[in-house]
Amino acid sequence: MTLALTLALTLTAQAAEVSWVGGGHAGNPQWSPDGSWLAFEVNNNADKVDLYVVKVANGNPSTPQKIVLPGSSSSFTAGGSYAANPNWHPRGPVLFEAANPGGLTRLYFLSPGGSSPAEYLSVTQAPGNLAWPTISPDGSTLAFTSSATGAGDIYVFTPATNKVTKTFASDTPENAPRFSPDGKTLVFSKKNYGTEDIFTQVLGTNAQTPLKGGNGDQSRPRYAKVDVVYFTNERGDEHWDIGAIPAAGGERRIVAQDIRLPLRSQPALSPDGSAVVYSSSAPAKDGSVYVTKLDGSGTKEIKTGLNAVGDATMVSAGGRTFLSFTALPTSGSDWRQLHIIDVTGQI
Amino acid sequence: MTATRRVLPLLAALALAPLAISPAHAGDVEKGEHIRISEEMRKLASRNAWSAVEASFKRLEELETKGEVISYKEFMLGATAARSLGDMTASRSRVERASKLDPTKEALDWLSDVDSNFGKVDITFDAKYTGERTLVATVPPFAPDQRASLTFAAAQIAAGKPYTGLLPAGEYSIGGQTVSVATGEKVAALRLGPPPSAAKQGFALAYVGPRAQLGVAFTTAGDVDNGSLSSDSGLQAGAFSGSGARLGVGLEVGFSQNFGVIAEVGYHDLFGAPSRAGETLEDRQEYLTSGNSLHLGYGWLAANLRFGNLWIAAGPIWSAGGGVVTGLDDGCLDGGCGDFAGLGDDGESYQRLAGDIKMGGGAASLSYALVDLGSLKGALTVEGGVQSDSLRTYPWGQVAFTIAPSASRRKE
Repeated sequence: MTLALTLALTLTAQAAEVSWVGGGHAGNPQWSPDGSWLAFEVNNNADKVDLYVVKVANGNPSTPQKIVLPGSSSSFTAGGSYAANPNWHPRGPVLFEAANPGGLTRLYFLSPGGSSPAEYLSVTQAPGNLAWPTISPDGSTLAFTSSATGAGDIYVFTPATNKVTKTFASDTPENAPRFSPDGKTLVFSKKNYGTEDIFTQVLGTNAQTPLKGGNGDQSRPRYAKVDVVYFTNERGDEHWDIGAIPAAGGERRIVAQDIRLPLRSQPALSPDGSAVVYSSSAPAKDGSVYVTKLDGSGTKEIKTGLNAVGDATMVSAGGRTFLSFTALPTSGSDWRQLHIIDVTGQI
Repeated sequence: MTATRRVLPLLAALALAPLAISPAHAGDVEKGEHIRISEEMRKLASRNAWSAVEASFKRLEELETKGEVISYKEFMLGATAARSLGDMTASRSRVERASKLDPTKEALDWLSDVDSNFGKVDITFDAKYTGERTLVATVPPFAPDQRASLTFAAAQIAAGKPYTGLLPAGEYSIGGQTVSVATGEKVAALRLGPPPSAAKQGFALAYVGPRAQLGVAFTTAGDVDNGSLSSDSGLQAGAFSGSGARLGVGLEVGFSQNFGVIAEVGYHDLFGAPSRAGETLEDRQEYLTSGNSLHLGYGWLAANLRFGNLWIAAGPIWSAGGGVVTGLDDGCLDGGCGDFAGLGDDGESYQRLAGDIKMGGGAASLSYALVDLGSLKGALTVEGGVQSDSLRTYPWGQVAFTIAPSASRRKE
C-alpha cells in the first residue's frame, strides 16, 4: 500500500502501472500497431518466462492476460517453459516464440481477446527451434530463424504460397532479422570474425551484403526511415551505444551512448520513426527516458521518477502518444514493473 | 417356497428394468479407459502432436456413447486439436460444448473469435462434374487456424468430396467460379455443375455483336451493254454517277479470334447532275433538267478476317430500289432498245426516266480499328463493290466509320 502511494505521487497524472498476479520482472513490452494492446514478458527468476497481453484504452491498462499455450494445462507455470519476443502483425495478432518445458521453441500466433494461441508453422513445414519472428510491414511475409540445419539460418514464410524458404545457407548463425519498409530486404546481425556484424539481404537473391562491422558487436538492427539503427558495444563491453548508418551504406554515427540495453528487442523508435527511444545505464540518468532525433537535431528527456528505467517503447494511438517502460520502484527491492505514460506533446 | 421361487425372478426383472431403458452408464472399464486417454491427450498436446490428440478425442467421443462424460478441459483440448488440423467446424462445436459445461471467458472469447472470422460454406458438385477441384482463397489468410481450415477444406474437395462447414470469411475460387464467405448465419452455397456438352463446346463463339456503318459513297452506273439491248429492253438511261450516303446495320459473329461472318442490311443512295457527252446538262428554255437519284436497299453477307486491328471482309451483295435519271443511253438513241424516233437529240438527252433496279455483285472492305468502345470497336473503313443488273455494272466506293464487336474472348 505504501509502495503504491509512493508511485502515485511520483509519476505524472497520466501514468499507469500494469499489474498482474504473481511476481516477476517485466520486460520487453511491445505495442500493437494501433496502440490498443501491449505484450510483455515476465521473468520470475524461476527458470521460466511468461508472456502477457494487456488491453490499453487511452493509456489505461486493463488486467493482463497470461498467454497459455495449447497442451499446457498449467500454461508456463512449470519450470523451464518460455514465451517471449512478441512481434505484432500490422492487422492485430501477435506472433511470439515459445516452448513447453523440454520442448522445441516454436512460433505461436495469438489474436488477443480471441482464441488460445496456435502454433504458427508445423514441424513438418519448419523443423527445429524457431526464433526471432518478424513480419513484413504489409503483413504478407514472416521471417524467422531456425536451428534446423544447426547453423541458425533465416527463413521466410509466405502465406500466399504456403512455402518456407531458406534465405541463405551459411555456417554462422544469423540473428534478429527485420524487414525494410518496402518488405523486400532483410537486415540482420551475424557472427563475423568473432563479433556480431550487420548485413542485409535482398529477398530472392542469394547474396548477403555487409552493412556495418568493426570493433565489438553490432546487433539487433532495424530500419528507421533511410537509416538502419542498431546497438553497438564498440567502445567495450561496459558501454552500449545506439548507432545509425544509412541503409544504402555510408558513415555510421553514434546517436546515443551508454544506453541500458533492452532485454530482447531492437532499438525503439518514436511513432514517426524519426528518433530513437531509450534509457540510460548511467545511475545519475537512469530515471528518465530519452528521445533522440536521428538527424541530430536534439534529445528530449522524459523524467519518470523511477529507477533503472529500461525497455522503453512508444506508440501513437487516438491522436496521443504513449510511452511504456519497465522500472524499479524508488525504494525497496521489488520486481521490475511495467508503466505507461501519456507523453503527448513532449517529444 | 414355490411361490417364492416364482416371485424372485419377477422381482429381479423389475429391479433390472430401469437399467434396460435408462441411458448408458459407464462401467469401470470405460472409466479407466477415459482416464488413460485423457492423460494421453494431455501428454500428446504438450508435444503439439495434434493428429494423435484428435484420434484420442474421437475415442473419448466413443466412450461418451457408453456413458462417459467428456470434461471441459477435454473438449477444449479436442477443439485445439481440430483447429490445428483445420477442422474449424468440429473445433467450434467442441468449444461450444465446453462453454455449456463451463462458460469461461476463454471459451466464450474463442467462440466469438471464430464467429467473427469464419463463415459457413456449402460447396457441392454435380455427379457429372469433371472440372478442377482446387479451392483457392483470393487473399491468402495469415492466421494459422485460418490457413489450416483452408488447407483442410481444399484437401477434402481435392479428394472428390463436397465441403460443408466453416471457412475464413473472404472470397474463394474453384472450377472457374467464385464464392464469397461472410461471417454470420448465412451459408454461402456453390454447386459446380456438369461440363458443357461437346456440342455446345463446338459452337462456342469467340465473339458476337452488332455492327453499324455510316459513310459517304460515290457510285457510278456505267453505259448499257449494247449487246444486251433488244427491242424489248425498253428505254434505258444513259450512264450516270453521283455521291451519296451509305449506311448499314447488322451482326458480326466470330468463330475464332481471327475469323467471322458479317450480315448487314442498309441503305445506299446517289445524287448527281445529268450530263451529256461528259458535260453537265444545262437548263434550256423548253427543258428543265432534273437531278439523277438512286435509292437502294442492300443486303451484304461477308466473311471477315481479323489481324489485330486490321479487318478484311468480302462477300456477295444484293441491292434493290429505284431511281430517276435524265437522258437516254446511247444505244437506245441508235434504236437498240426500240423505235423511239422523233424524240430528237435534245429530247433524248432531256428525257426523264424512272424505274426499278435489282442488282447483285460483290463488295469488299478494309477496316482499321482506332478506338475501343467497351465491348465494341470503332474503325475507319474503305469499302468498294461492283454490282450488275444484267444490263450494266455499278461500281461504287465508300469511306465510312464502322462499329463492330471487339474480338476479345466472350465471357461465358
